[in-house]
Amino acid sequence: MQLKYAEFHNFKLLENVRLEFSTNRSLPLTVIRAENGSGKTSVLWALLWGFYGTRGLPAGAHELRLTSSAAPIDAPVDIQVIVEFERDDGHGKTAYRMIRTVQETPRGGDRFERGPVKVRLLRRTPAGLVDVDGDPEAVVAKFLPPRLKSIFFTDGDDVQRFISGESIHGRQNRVHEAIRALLGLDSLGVARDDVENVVAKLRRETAKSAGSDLESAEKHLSEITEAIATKTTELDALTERRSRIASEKAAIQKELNEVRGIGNIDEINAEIKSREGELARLESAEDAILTSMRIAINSQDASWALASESLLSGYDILNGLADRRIIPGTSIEVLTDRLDIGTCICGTDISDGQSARAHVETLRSEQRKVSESRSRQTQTFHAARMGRATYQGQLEDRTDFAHRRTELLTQYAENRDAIKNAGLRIEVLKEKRAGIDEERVRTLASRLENAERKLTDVSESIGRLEGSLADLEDRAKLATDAYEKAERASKVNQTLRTKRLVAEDLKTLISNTLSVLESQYVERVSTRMNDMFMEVVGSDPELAGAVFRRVCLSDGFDIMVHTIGDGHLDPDFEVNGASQRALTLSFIWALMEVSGQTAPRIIDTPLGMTAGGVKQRMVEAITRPPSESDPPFQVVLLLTRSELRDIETLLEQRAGATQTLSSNKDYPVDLTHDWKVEYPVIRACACNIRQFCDVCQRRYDDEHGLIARGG
Amino acid sequence: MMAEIVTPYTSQDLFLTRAFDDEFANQLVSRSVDGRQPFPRKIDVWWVAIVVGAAIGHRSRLPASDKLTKFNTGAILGREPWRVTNLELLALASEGEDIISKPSDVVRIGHEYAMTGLDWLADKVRGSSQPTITLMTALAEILPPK
Repeated sequence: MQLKYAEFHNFKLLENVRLEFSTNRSLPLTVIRAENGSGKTSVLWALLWGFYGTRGLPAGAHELRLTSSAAPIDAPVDIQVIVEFERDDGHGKTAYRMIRTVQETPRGGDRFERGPVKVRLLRRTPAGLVDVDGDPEAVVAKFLPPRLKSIFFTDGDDVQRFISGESIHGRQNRVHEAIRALLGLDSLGVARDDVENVVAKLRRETAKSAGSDLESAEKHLSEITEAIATKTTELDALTERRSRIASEKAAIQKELNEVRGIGNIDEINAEIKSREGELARLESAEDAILTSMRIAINSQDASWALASESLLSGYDILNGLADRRIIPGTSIEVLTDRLDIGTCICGTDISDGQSARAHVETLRSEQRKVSESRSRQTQTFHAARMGRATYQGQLEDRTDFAHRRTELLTQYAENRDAIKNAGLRIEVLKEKRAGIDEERVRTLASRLENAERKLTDVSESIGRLEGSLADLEDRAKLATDAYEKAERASKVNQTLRTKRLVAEDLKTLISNTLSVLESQYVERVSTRMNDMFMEVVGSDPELAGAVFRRVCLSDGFDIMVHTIGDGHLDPDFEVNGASQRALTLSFIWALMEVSGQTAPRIIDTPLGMTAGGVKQRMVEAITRPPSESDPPFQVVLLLTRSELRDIETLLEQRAGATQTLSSNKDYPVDLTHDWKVEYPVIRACACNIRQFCDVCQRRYDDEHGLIARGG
Repeated sequence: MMAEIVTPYTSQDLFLTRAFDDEFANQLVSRSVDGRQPFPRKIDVWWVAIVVGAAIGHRSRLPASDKLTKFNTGAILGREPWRVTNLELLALASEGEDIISKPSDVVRIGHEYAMTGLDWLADKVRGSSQPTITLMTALAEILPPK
């Protein structure tokens, strides 16, 4: 079976959402991008409800209302899910359309009234759509057996149940049940139980024909066998109850984590810390810019830039004096020389006692006064020449104060914007952290405590029952010996005895067959799981991949992780999160491949806890197009932006369809645009993993390199 | 050489107007290195006021001495001798080549430019909580066109 499209009307917050799925054999992947709280789980539930009704929903969710919790009280709401799919009936593909409709009327709180459910299954024919004969649910159950739903429609956290849980026994049971369900071994188990009943009936008849001793021995054996059957049924019921309570507990825990934001609060706190660090860096950068401005304002460069006209004018005066050789002044030195020689330049005698000497001395004295001024002018001229040259060089290099000023102001403005944004983001994150609903936390914590208490009670009852059963089985063995001894001592009806022996042989045969088939399937699933797991993490030294030697399913249906050096790790506690995710997905994928089922594989948040090479290889493994000899398959991944980061190229290579879901609950904290809708709703848009639009744009999308669709 | 440059000015008193000093000294002057105040010392206010006055191209008369406050002597100019050179260039441009031998007149001319500059600074930064940015931005008004 392959999904073509699905439409959801008024299912939870999916008011009117249509999703298209890729049916392209070489592009088996459909990506639905959605952040937490943006409808991923609702889509999963809506598909399950569409196919199986409320029975298809996870344990604990059967009685939940299907409408939005914001729907007006006492106003009936029509809920409809339409799923169009195609399957190969052996003579080509046929398209079907499943339509499930119900009317629900909210009555306040969690109360509601639900009308009769209408289900239609239509087949597409050349003449158009026609109703399929028979009960639509029964037909769909043949196409996609309900027992497989938890394998094919699952979320990333849920698949962890195969390696984590209350006890090893519980984990083994879950793996065993999954193998039996997917490989269709349930009917063989039923046949074995039927033959067991026949054996008991024949033993009874044999005893009746052989007298009171044997009859008494048979009666005793029958009573014990019946007690074992009763206790086994009780044990099965209790085990199922425990599993249900454990699921409920996990669901409560998950919601509690979401409400408390424990999963998110770590991210929020980490982001606040990171933004505060960024803010401190930006503030320090601002100080540095301001300091640079102060230095610039008080610099010679600023003086030259601002007062250049006057400064150049002053310089020109000095330059003119230099051009006219007035500075530097040399006349004092010349006059002194002449007085020392005693002869003027013109040849006049100016030796001591000559009247002309007094004139030259007066001339030298006057020149000394002028010279102080010339000397100062000369000194200033030289200093100014350097300042002017520096200024003119800066003008040519565009490093003068005017340019520096523009540059610093631009830096300051950009840095201010960044400070403002970082501050705003911190504020938003703190508001988000403060917005955790304490009342809801208290309610959920109380429900969680209640579930834990029930789980403990049920586990204790199971322990007591298992003890009783072990005791009964010992007693059954003794009673069987006693019966056989009595039978040998009695004259029994040989025909009945032969029939019983044949029935016992048949029971042994079926049991052995079941055991052989299970062990063969286990072997195949185990091998495939190991191949995939080692491909994903086996070669990654960062994940201590070098320590993994192999993974396998044990005879007792336990998922085992073997290490180099013949040790093994408990996958629940001793294997890191990314490897756990790889392990459980490898198990699921191996089961699906060995079963040969072609149902769509829809996984919500499969890549949580994974990153880097493991994420890349995991997606590579689960989206690899089938070879020509393999049947086509379809995988739908519901991914958050952080999950699909760093694997965009691979996803684009494998995806035949991509859409985005968004919730207006995220406005304005995370979502950028106001949809102008005053109640919570989820919408789909056609944005692929590298795009955003007015519906889905989130803060920082552009920082992460996303581009506007159509832009 | 540097000491020689400043020698004629060491005994010259340097003034700000009392009104400006009272109103703006705390807002504009700080020895802190973070740059939130544009000037580390009063001599820097005085100098930038001179440059601003020269950029505007106007000298204002000094007010009466009771309206002035002496903040230092010309000796302080020894720390940035280029200011002496530039002050002399401004004086040369204003009153001709002989002014350079009259340090008190050179400083007077500086003060007259500074009076214009202080008024301009007061007008720009009054009430500003970010005087460095305010001043840096306002300088665009008096920078010569490129």
